[in-house]
Amino acid sequence: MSGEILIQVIDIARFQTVRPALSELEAVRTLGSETRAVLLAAAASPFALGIRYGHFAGLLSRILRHPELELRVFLTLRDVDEVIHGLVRVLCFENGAKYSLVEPVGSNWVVLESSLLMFMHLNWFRQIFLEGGSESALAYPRRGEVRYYVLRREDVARLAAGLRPLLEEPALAPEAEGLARLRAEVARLEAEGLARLAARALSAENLTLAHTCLL
Amino acid sequence: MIWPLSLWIEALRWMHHADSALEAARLGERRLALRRVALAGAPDELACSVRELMDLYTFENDSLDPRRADELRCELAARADTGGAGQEV
Repeated sequence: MSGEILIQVIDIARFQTVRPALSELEAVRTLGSETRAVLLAAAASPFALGIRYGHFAGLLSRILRHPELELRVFLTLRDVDEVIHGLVRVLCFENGAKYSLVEPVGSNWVVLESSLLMFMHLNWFRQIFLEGGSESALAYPRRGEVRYYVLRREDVARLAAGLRPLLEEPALAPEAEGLARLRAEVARLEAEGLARLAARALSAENLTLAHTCLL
Repeated sequence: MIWPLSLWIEALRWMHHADSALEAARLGERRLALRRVALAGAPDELACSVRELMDLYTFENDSLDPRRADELRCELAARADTGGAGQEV
């Protein structure tokens, strides 16, 4: 694995609730009232406008304006994929799945980059993040550039337990300086952020962590 | 027929080649003809379809058929005048 891993908090119970709507969208036929209610809820979210400069909100508006039309008549495959991905982001992820590549750690996300090499040497980390296989893949979105993988709650607990001793160690060797020091500081920041996310996910039954690879 | 055409168009666009882009635009013409019938009661959506076809005629910032692109632009302008321009948001 190369690149970076983005980890975020997801409401997996909410995902299961909206999943039938995502399936109905994928069928690209006329939508039923329950799916339309899901779209309306997403359209009312303040996060909807932030996705692709409002393109997602525009697609929602077009769909809701024409309840009589089959989606396959006026949308493209890419449009449908974007709506499905947007709904998952807005309705299921905390803070609308917002993240930043400039800030590796935020209130609802961690981008593991500096610490990834260190983590890859840890068996428990590899088992949690790399060996889940297709079973851990979130059912939607299933096409497009992004595929999310979800941790089981026992894996989140394992993650929290695995991080604890790392965070109890001294932050840096006293002789570290320059680039090495900077890298170590950022890696520590990422590990602390990940521990916070794990604690957040463990705080409620409906929450867990989702991760995806940023290329 | 509209959805299979949309899938073909998507696949051709993924190839990212001028010939396949032109083929996608030709299929886009057929799709627009079908949509003119299916979307007769939804002029805003028809305008979106015209805009999509204009995009299909663009490859790497060049127009594959400037004359046709102009015709589509004129149609879009005429639709705007009659209130069927179909803005997304």
